[in-house]
Amino acid sequence: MRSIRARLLIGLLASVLAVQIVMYSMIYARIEDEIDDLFDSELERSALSAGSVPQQAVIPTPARQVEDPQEEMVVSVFKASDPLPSYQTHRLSGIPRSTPIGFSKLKLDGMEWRLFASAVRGQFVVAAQPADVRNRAARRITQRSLLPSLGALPLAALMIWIAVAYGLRPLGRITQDLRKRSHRDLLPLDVSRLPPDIAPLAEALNDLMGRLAGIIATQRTFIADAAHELLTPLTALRLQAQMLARSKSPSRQREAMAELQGGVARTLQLARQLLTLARHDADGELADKTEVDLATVIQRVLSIHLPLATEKALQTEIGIQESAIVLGNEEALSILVSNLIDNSIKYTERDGRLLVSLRPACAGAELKIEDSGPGIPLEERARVFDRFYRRRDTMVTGNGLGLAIAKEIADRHGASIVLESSEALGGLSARVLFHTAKAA
Amino acid sequence: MKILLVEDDRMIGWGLRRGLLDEGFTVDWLDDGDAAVVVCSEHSYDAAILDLGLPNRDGLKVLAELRHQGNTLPIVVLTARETVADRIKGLNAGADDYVCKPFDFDELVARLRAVMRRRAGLVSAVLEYRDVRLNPTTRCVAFKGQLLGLSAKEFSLLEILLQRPGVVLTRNQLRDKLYGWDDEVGSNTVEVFIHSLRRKLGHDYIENVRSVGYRLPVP
Repeated sequence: MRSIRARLLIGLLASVLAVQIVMYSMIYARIEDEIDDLFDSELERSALSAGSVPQQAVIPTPARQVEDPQEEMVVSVFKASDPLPSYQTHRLSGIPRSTPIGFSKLKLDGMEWRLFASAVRGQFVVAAQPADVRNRAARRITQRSLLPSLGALPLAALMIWIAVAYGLRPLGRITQDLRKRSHRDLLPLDVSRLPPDIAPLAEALNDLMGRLAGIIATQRTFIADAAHELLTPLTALRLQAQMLARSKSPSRQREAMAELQGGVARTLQLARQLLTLARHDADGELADKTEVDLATVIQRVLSIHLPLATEKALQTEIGIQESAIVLGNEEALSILVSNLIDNSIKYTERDGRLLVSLRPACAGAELKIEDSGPGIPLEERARVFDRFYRRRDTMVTGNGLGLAIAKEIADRHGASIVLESSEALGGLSARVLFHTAKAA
Repeated sequence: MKILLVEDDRMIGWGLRRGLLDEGFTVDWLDDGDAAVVVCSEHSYDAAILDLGLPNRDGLKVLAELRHQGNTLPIVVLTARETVADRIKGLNAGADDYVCKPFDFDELVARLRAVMRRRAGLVSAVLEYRDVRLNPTTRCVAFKGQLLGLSAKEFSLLEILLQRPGVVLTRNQLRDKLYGWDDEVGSNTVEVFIHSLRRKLGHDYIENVRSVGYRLPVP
C-alpha cells in the first residue's frame, strides 16, 4: 500500500497542476484579446500614417520581397480607383481594392491576414498583417509567464511534503509512544492530546488494549492461583514421601504408601483440572460445536461413576429421557456431568441415596442430580463456584475446582446450574438447564 | 511434649501427625481456626503448628486472637504465602517462626524444637540434670556417661520433668502432656512410667510430692 505521504503528495501536486492548466487557459484567452487590440491599433496607425504622407513622397519603388510573411506588416496605397496599389511596402499580390473600410480578414497565399482599410486624403490605404503573428505573440507571452510557475512546482512539492509531515506528526507520536512501551504496559493512550482525526483510531486501540489487559490479568491470576494451589498437594506429597521413608514396620509402610498414593492421585487430579480450566479459558468460545446427545453423555459418565457409588453402598435411582440433543462439546459436557455426579458420590455418606434424572423442561432439558448428603448451606451456594474455594470438610479432600469447572462449561453452553436443597433426599440438588437443539 | 496441630488439609494433617508422633511428640490435631482458639484456652500445650490457610477463620486471625488473650504458646506458622511481606505480617501477628509450603518435615521439627527451647529460656538443645543428659533431637539419653534405653513415653516423661527441675507437675498435667485425644489412657499409666524411670535412674531422681505430683528435687 502506498504511504499517506505519497498519496497526499501525488494528489496535491495533481491538483496544483490542474488549477494551473485551467488558470493559464483563461489567461491565454485574455492575452489573445489584449494582443488583438494592440495589433489592431498598430495596424490602424500604420495605415493612417502611410496615408498621411503626401502622394509625391510615396516612392513607387519596386517593393521588397516579404522576407518573413509572418512578421511583416504590408501597407498598400491605392491611387484613385486603380485596381493595383501604387505603392506597397512589401511585395504581396492579391490585396483587393475592394477591401471593406475598417478591420477585416482575408485569406492570401494560404495564410490568414488581418486587414485595415481606410480612405485618407483621396488615397485608399490597406494595412495587412498575418493573423498568425498575434497567436504566436499570445502564446509566447503565456509561455513566458507559465515557465516560472511550472518551475515553482518542485517548491510546491517540497512544501506539501513538509506540510504533510507536520500533519502526520501526531501519528508519529502515537507510534513512538507505543514503540517505547514494554509489553506489559497496556495503559490507554492519552486521547485528549490527539487531533480528532486519529482519536477514533487511538480509542479503538485503547479498547483493544483494555480487553487484552483484562485477559492477561485473568490469566495471570489463574497462574498465580494455580501455582499457589499446587503447593498444598505438593506439601502433602513431600510429607507422605518422608513418612514412607521413616516407616519401619510393614504395616506402617503400607499405611504410608496408601497415603502417598492418595496424594499422587490428588495432585494428578488437580493438574488435570487445571488443564481443563486453562483450555476452556483459552478457547473463549467453543471451538467445535456438534450435536451431542446428553442422555448418552450422562449414561457414559454414570457407567464410570456407578462402581464408586456401589462401593459406598449408595442407593442410586436413574431416570433419563431417551435423548436430548444439545449443541456443544461432548468432552466438556462429560466433564460437567462427571464433576456434579462425582461431588454427590463423594459427599454422601455410606448407604445414602442418589438420584440422577434427565427430563424435558421449558424449551430444553433439565439434568438433576440429588443426594442425601450434607448439602451446601445457603450462604455458601454462590461461593462454591469460585475457583479453589474449598468447603470445610474433613472427610473429602478436594481441590476446589470441580464446581468452578462445571460452571465454566455450563456458561459456555448457555446452560445454568442451580444448587438447592433436595426436597426428595434432603441433601444437595444440582439442576442444570440446557437449551436443546431438538428434543426427541 | 504436647503439640497442637491446626491444619485443614487432611493429607498434610495426617502426615504431620504421624511424623510428630514418631518424633515422640503428643499431638492434638484440629482442622478449624475457631476450635483452635477455644482449645488453647482450655488445654496446655508446649507448642502449636498453625496453618494460615484455614477455613472459617484465617490463621493470622487465630494467631492475633491467641496473642490478644495473652497466650504465649510457641507457634510455628505454616503457609503457602512466601513473600517477605507475608512473613513479616505473620511474625508481627505473633508467630514464633514461619515455615513455607512445601516444607521439609525435619526442618519443621527442628524449628518447632527451637521455638520451644527459646520459650523455655534454654540455649542448648541438650537437657541436663545431675548425671542425666537428654538430647531431644537425637532422642538419646545418657546416664552416667552410658546410653540409657527408654520407651517413647518414658523418654517424653523424662523430657517434661527435665525442662523444669524443681517444679511440681500433677498427674493430670503429666497425663495431658503425654497423651493426645485419640490415645487411650489407663488410670494409672503415669505412675507406671514414673515407676519404670525410677527403676532405671534410681529413686532419688524423681521425688513424689504426696497427693500433688512429681518433680525433680533441686538441692
